[in-house]
Amino acid sequence: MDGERHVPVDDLAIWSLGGLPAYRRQEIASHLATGCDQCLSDFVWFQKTLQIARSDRLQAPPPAVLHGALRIFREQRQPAGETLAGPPRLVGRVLFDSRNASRLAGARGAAQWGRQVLYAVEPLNLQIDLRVERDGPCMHLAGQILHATAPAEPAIPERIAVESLGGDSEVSILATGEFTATLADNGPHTLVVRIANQEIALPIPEGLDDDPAAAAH
Amino acid sequence: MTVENTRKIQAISGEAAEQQQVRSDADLIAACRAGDTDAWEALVMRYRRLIYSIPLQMGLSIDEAADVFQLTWLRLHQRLATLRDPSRARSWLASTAHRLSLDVHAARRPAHEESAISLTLVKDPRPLPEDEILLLEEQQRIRAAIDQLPRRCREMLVLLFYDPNQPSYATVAQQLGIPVGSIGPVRQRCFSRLRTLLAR
Repeated sequence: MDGERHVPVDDLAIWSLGGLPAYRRQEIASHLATGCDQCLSDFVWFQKTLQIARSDRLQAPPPAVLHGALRIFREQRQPAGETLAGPPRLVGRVLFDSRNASRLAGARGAAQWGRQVLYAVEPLNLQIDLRVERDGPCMHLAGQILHATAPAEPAIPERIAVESLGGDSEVSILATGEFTATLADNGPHTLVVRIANQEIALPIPEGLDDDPAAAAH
Repeated sequence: MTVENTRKIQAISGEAAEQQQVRSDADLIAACRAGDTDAWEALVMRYRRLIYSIPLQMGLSIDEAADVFQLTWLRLHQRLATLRDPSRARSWLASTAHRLSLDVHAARRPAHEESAISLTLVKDPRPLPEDEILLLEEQQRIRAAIDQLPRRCREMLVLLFYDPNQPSYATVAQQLGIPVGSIGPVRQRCFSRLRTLLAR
């Protein structure tokens, strides 16, 4: 085989699939041995694609299950003019941030935690205390939902959502309003509390008090 | 399930979905935000295998996998307007299905095993390793690319890649309704198209 003529992709593919006669395999092997980048690249691509496809364990859902997912959009679609996001989100207002306190006082604000933030959600008479600590690639959270003043309304929800770039998750909330979570990466993440027909978003602070970047601000 | 529903799914999974399949995830999410039902259906069809397979790979039952499947799509619907990077919808869906599956595992455990309230993501003893999820995503990517090919290419590559019997030339030619001598050129075109799609 002419060492300068490229091997057709189809031949490389069929070789991978085990369907070429011996003489043709020998020709292709000789050509690849010349170091032809294009043919080697084609060959590697096809081998990899075939390997992934042959290991395919994906299963399609039964039609009834599939139909349920297809129906979601129609059944939950909002009337014209409304958004798909549901009610507008409230964003918690930061009442206290230990990073700012550290700078003012010249000392670290949250003793054993990397950062502490207190949010206020005025229309709902709520405060949310959040402490954040990093642990390598993970992020530990500990927080509590508090009523700013009596009476104790509205009721504390049972779960809080964590929205992340890679997907959503949920965390349980104790009757006392306390919650803890460990997130698999350092974010960005947003906590979302659904309470009294409102969604409250609480962006989790990314920097810690002792980050070098904090001093620059 | 009604006959009408079955027909609807068949229509979506066939020619009707082809036009949507060439659209990117970001385009489909944008269209969903605008209320386009067809775009939602295309997204569900594109990722149906991936989202249903993750809970199954994690050892959940068929019923539990069905619940995770529904809930994952419900979550996406709730997040449509606020999804920050629609071009990463596949990873978002896979990650959400994974986490929901971990929740199901956690809920199976007796109450006395539950310690302090915690995100089940890192507590569950049976998480699917990251490389397993990536492999499922790659398998899904190849499936999705094949779905975008013209019918003849699609059928040929499904036979070559996924048929455990590894059919002969004659069988492939018979199933596709083409002469045996045409298989080589058709296959060459199909591989080239597949590679182009996967390179995007």
